[in-house]
Amino acid sequence: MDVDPDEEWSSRTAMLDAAIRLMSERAPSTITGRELAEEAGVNYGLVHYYFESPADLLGAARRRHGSRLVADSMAGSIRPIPLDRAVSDREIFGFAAHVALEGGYDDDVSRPVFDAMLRLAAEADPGGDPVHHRATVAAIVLLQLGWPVFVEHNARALGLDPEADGELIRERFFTVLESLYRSIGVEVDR
Amino acid sequence: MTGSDRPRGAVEVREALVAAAARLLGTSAPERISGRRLAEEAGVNYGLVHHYFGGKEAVLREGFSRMSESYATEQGLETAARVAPFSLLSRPDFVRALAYASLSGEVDHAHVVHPTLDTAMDWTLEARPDDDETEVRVDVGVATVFHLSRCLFASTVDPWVERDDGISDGVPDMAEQVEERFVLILRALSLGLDPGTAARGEREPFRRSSVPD
Repeated sequence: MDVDPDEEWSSRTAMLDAAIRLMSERAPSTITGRELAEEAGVNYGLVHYYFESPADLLGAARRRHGSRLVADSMAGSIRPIPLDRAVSDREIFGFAAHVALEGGYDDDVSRPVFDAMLRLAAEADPGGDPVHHRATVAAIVLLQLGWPVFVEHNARALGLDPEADGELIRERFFTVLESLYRSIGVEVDR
Repeated sequence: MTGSDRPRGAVEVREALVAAAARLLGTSAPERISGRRLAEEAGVNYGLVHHYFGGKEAVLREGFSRMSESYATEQGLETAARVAPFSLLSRPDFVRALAYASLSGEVDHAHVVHPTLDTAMDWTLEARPDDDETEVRVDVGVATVFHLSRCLFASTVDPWVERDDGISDGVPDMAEQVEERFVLILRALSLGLDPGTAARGEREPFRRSSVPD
């Protein structure tokens, strides 16, 4: 297949962005090549041209997801992801949850967002305790990813009203995240 | 499954369907589990799903309760005073089922029972008798989000925590030390203490009641 290099790059990128959108809504294994091509607005044949296997596509989508988050939401790794964005953007938590549910990390340990956060901590708190930095970054990521997935279930199971008590729950949650960020010397926007 | 060992009679058929639901809920979103899929997994005729349960919804709800009860029994939660930190790591199927239900917007199935929350709530209320009860519930909710998330995202976070990349400044047992911090943070969240202080490795004293924390 002859493909113009610029067009090649843009249709591959379009497919990865489409994959990220679809995987934010449902598990990767439930998404067909045809759905992906349609979502990306590219020819179905290109899916197999660019990606050898579903695992190949998933890996590429993960890498793009991470680097896109650092570039956009962390403004090129100069600030942490604003709290509201982190817990309400389905392309952040929905994607991460579906990848985790299908165990899609294999041996790949690249985590661009984690690394960028750790660098922020190292700059803001030079000479700080590396265990503190790493545990705090991990805890922040865990809380932000888990919050939108589990908060409604937890609130109801605890006899709280997700609507009426929503503000109180959210306030406490943001205070928790701000406290964790502050401990590593990093300011975060809501 | 051969004809002779197919479930027969109301008790066996119901049991087979609920057990099938409990297995399937840990591997896919509830809206993707059809009545036919349940029947096939249980080895019973499709018509029996409707005959005994009136539809797949009721089977899925009972499947959730089943998972929850088996976890409670395993952990001895009926008699335990408190939930061990991150104890749901032993039950990824239950955590996954909750995540699938929530992500597909079908949290109704999942909100019925959650034994860790009840136990955690009882313990925390006893430890914080003078605090506003709604506030305590909110704190337990946040702590439980951390607990569940630590279990769901173990494959996301753990390899990064353990990774030897030079950034860890030669801390040999990084993973164990980070785990200890997680436990401290979890405690701080339940007790309404400052999580940043816990992340630094300090165990803030908490002595407001006779309950050992």
